Amino acid sequence: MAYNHKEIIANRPSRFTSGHRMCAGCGAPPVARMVLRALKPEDHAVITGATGCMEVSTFIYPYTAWTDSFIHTAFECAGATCSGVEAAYKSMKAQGKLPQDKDTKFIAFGGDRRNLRYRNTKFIWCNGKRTRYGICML
Amino acid sequence: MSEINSTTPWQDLTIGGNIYEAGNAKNFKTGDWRSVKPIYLSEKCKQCGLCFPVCPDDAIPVNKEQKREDFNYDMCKGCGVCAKVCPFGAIEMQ
Amino acid sequence: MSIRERLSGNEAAAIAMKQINPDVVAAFPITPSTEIPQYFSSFVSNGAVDTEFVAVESEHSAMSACIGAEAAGARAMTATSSNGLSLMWEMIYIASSLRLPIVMSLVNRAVSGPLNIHNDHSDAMGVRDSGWIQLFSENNQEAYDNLVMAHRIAEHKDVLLPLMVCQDGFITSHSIENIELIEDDLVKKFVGTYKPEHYLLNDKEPMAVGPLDLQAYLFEHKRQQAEAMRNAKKVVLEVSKEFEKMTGRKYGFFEEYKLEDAEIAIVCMNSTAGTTKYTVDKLREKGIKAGLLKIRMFRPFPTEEVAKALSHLKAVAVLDKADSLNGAGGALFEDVISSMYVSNIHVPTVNYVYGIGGRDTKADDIEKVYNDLSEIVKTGNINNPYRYLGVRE
Repeated sequence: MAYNHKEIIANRPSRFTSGHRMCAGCGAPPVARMVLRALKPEDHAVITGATGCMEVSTFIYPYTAWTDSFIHTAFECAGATCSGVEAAYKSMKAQGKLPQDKDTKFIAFGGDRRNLRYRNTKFIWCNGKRTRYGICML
Repeated sequence: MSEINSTTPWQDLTIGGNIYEAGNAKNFKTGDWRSVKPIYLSEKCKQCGLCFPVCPDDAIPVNKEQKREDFNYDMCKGCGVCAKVCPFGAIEMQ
Repeated sequence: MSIRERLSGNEAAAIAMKQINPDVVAAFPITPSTEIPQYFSSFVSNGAVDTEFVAVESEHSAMSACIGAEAAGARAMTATSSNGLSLMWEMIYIASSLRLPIVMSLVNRAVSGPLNIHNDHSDAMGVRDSGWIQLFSENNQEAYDNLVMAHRIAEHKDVLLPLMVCQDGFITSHSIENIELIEDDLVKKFVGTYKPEHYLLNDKEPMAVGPLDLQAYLFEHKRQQAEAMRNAKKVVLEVSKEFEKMTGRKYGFFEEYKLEDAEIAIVCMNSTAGTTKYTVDKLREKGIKAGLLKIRMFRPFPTEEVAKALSHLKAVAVLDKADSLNGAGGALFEDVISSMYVSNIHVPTVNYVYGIGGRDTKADDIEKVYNDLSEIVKTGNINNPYRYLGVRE
């Protein structure tokens, strides 16, 4: 199926709002917005972010630009944090503590300083386990 | 959430800095960052769709007919990326 | 009827975790706590628990995963020791500031360096200001009981702070002692199910956790944490009372052993309390009025209660199994004397740093401390309040 950029933008609501404090002209917000448009409008998602511009400028108390559930912990562990959220999902869903008819998607944003973030993100890529989430390096 | 500001006493803040209104940054206006202003010249616009995907601030509304509308100046930071990508000179920075 | 068993401290902790049946456990092995996740992962493999076990690549990731899981709405647990806790350090503060009631089993071991795998309390003392509730355990029974009570305390709506249950590495973790276990169904009922008000996986209310908290807000959020820590005191007592109803085993902020009519006393934590009780009994036979105050809840520190419990004494020795290297006393000593000072209670008090790196502390050593205290009572002369016990000089 052809990917119609205009159609996607017109029909899928932005899951990353304006009102964030990224610099004027920064390229990261349009990227994040388009990554999130890969989700279906009805999807429930949990996003993880590593410390960096993309996190500190979009989630300054008491405002967040992310319309999905979002968690930030520290510099180097968006991947590990995401694996914890995912483990909670697997366990709670299997125990019937979450709605059975609903699927949750997980996206980890690796942040903009790859040297710091790479370590435990790499672990997730290398550990061979099937994970339910994607990692986006900005 | 919306009533929390820098005068709110500690007892009334959400714990841990949690935010229970996801996406509430849309209430934070960034339009006053702007030093130059993009002007939309609709008669020159061909609706090619190059400007709105690159706007960092979602300040170019797109309607269901897949057509762009005039700028949302409440949010536009005036970066000028849209004017730069427009092949038809339909956005002018003032 | 309770179940009589004989278990090591690590086994007791693992069994407690099995009975609690947390949703997620993320852990990385480190001596002497390795056995806890090791035993627990066998429970996971055998289907004895519903837990999702995350085999992470470091302790930093273990705590990160616990934070993610707890924020997502799960009950998360972990176990570690010493340098493992050091590697977690960054995330330890984040866990408490995000107000996530994670429960950790901390098997105390000396923090490097130089490298040493044996017991002292330098790991726990390193995170004493991190906003975690810290419960200390004299033996395997207390390590087990404290874990069973842990979630009830940590998850209370007025608290919502992470909690670590400490036990002495090897001395408690690897020695097998008698223990009374509680039946599975009773533990299940006591612990209850975790029902957070807000959580990431709630599809009806997306939420955001862990913001950039600038000058206008961080102070207020820290004030909230401080209040939660104060609230924990009340909750610890409530939960302990309920636990006593179920098991008959009584817990409070501390245990007073023959303290009521004592003239001299030792304040200490964890397994040394066992040795001290033995010594107190021996001294009592000789007519010496010795007593013990064993701290169970080190964070929050029960200031007024400790000061009151020590107020009638003629001399007190505070034993610290970690040196604060501050040119003054150990952490427990500082807390005890400041508690007494603000309550306007002035009892001659000395500090002993002891047992560093697993140095054996025998009944004879403890007796020497009581003899020193008797000398202080007799002469009224303290000389040096900052002392060492068991170091070669």
